[in-house]
Amino acid sequence: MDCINVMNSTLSRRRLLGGLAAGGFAGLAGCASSADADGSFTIIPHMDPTGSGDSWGSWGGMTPYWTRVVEPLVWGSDDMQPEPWLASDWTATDDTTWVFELREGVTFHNGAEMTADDVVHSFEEDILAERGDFVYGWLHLEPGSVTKIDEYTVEFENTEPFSGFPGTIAHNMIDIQPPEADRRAGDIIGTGPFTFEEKTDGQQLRVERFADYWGGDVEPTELTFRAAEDVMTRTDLLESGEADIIFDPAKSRVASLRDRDDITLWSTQSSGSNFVSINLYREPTDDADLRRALNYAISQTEIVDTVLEGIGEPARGPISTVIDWAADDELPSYEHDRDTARELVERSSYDGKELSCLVKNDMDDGRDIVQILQSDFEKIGVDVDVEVLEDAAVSDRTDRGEFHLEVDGSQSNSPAADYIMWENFHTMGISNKDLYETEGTGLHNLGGEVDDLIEAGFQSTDPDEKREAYVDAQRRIMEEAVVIPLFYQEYTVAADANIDGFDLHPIDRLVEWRTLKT
Amino acid sequence: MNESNGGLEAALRRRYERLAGRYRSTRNSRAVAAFCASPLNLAGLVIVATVTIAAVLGPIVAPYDPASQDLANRLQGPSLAHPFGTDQLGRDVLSRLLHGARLSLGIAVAVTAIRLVLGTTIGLVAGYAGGWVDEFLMRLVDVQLAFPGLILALVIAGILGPSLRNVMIALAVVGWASYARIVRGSVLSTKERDFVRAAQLMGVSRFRIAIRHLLPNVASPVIVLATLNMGTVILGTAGLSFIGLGAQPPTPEWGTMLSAGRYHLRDAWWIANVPGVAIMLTVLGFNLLGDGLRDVLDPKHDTAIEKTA
Repeated sequence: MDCINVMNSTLSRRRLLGGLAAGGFAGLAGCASSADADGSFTIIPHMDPTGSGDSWGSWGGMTPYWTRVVEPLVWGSDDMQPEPWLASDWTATDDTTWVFELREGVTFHNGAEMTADDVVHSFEEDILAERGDFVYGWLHLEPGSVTKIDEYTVEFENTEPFSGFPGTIAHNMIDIQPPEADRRAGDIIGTGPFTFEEKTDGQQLRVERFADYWGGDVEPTELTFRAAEDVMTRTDLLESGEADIIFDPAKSRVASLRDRDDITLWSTQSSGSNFVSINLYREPTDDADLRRALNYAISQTEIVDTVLEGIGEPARGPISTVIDWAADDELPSYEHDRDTARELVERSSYDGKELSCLVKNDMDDGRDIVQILQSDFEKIGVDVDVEVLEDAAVSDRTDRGEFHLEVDGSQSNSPAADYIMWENFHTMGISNKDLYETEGTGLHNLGGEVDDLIEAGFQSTDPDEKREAYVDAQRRIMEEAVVIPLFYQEYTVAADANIDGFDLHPIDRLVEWRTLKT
Repeated sequence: MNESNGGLEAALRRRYERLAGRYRSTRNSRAVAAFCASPLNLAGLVIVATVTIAAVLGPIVAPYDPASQDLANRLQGPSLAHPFGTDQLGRDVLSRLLHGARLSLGIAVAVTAIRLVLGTTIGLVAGYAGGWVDEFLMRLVDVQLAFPGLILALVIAGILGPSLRNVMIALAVVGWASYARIVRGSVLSTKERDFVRAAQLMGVSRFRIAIRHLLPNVASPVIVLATLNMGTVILGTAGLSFIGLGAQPPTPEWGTMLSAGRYHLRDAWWIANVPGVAIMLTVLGFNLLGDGLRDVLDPKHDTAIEKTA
């Protein structure tokens, strides 16, 4: 009866409606975050964390990035130095030999202790035997080069002097698993703070806290990694509360996300950089004057301020400045100067024919960036035909050297970034080797002294010597305008504002989740 | 005797042609009246005419170069200087829309023409030749129709690589079968009619019979299908361009504009919505026009015309 009276009064109706509205908002607020008090979080990286075949087949369809199920011997510190992880220490016993001491008391998810046998098995049977030739060039190891010294000591024999070896294997893909693990079948047995539980290809995968983690306490009970490669979808999922943490939200929406009280944004410079690679062995880009003209024609600042919405740093060289031997200030400056650019075009052998410029269709902001470049080049009298193609189609064209320019980029997913120099600019690097061996050319390799400098930096164990050699190599690369630097990458992470305990890492794939909580 | 028969034949033919001409004239007048009586038909006609005029005159009347960038004025909302605003690179959206109209309509016309010629030829040959030729060609049609059109176009465009030319090839390859079917069906019934038999008895060549007697009789349904197809092709082109298989930058194609604009739906709604509405209206226009033409050209709808008359 009281209830009826209450409902019959106008004031009470308002109260009721107000209460319903408040309840509704509370309900929506509850829905707005999937981060539960019990410690489960939904995270969306910028690439699909699931996938068989060529993508994550070696890890049973689970990405080794971000998921923190498997671990390498070495990790990367925040200042991009190799850091002990499953290995507690390492020493170089000669130019090509490394001895790694394993951390004792590390247990796999099946309860077994990690020993030297597991390390030898992982390298010899999984990494070197299964993952193809590119691993030899990357790690500078060959089958049979990893041997057990004792239960907790392993020796690695590099194919040539390689001072960056510990930093190079500080990579999620160079993981240690016991022989019982059947990677291809999805039976992943790692040592990480989370255990692999389940996945649905193209949708999501779930990991759970590993109570016996060697590194100590793990706060989250469960992490779900969802697939949403489309940047708008990813951002929508965060805004709707279906995700707690997303990597790289849409740049066009970063400003509005910053204005929201319920969302936090973090940004940091990453180990990646974007540049236009120039084919040095095809007319007319074989002419250094034309290449320098193209460098003078563009404004990196304009690209960063417009298309990138300020997320990134204008670049002067091809190597991100978070890498300790990057040479930014020491490189020749091609300040935006159309007059100089036009003069150089006049002086060059450019005959008015269109240059072909390739860009991968999955490159963030690639279409807009390439159109700005195209417009800038047109203003100095250089016509460019843009082709936005699939990754495989771009590789096919670049492998055959059938292009002039490629909007490209490179990123190191391990603290040792030596391979960026080697693979891109050394004659025997992956970009140049095939064309050099078949036609005596290459793509972005100046050869001669630059090759010598890259080799010196690659092999030197003295950090100062290494830096000096690499800086000199970068200077020559920029003097000859082998690339047109665009920007040093920054990455952004947007998260529910209630989340605490998240630290950015220059390598986004090395972020830790162990201290994540609400 | 022969001369006398010749004179009679000529007189009869003249009378037949007078009657036929009067019938055609009356029928055409009625058809036009019936078409104009429907506001929807007129709306379709007006939309298509507007888009056609935009396609023809667009590049002349466009206020700016569609590729000209003005990064300092990017993402500007509609204004007098830029009635449809500017895009993410500071380009005038109206100018891009007008240039895009020529592309979209040009592709639609070209693809529809290829489909029409290919499908009509195959249908005509199949229906008139019959036998194993008919069987073979119709199985080809069945195979083509067994694939979902847009998916097959996507596969073809994906294999050929992104470009407008390849999108045209992909869309043309997948859309001819319906023409072949319709034409074959019409030919099968028409070739049994007396005037075709008479022509055969008079020794008229098979090619001439096909062109002079059969083709005009299957024109109406083909024209209707072509009109309806224009909308489908515009949508298909925009769809393939949206996912990156069509126009290459900086070509102002409507689907590409829509795709670029989706990243700015919240802060610059006009970039995606202007080409989106243009696509919607154009497709709607062709569909309304096609429906209207079907109503007045389809012989089964003669009664409707007569009622209107």
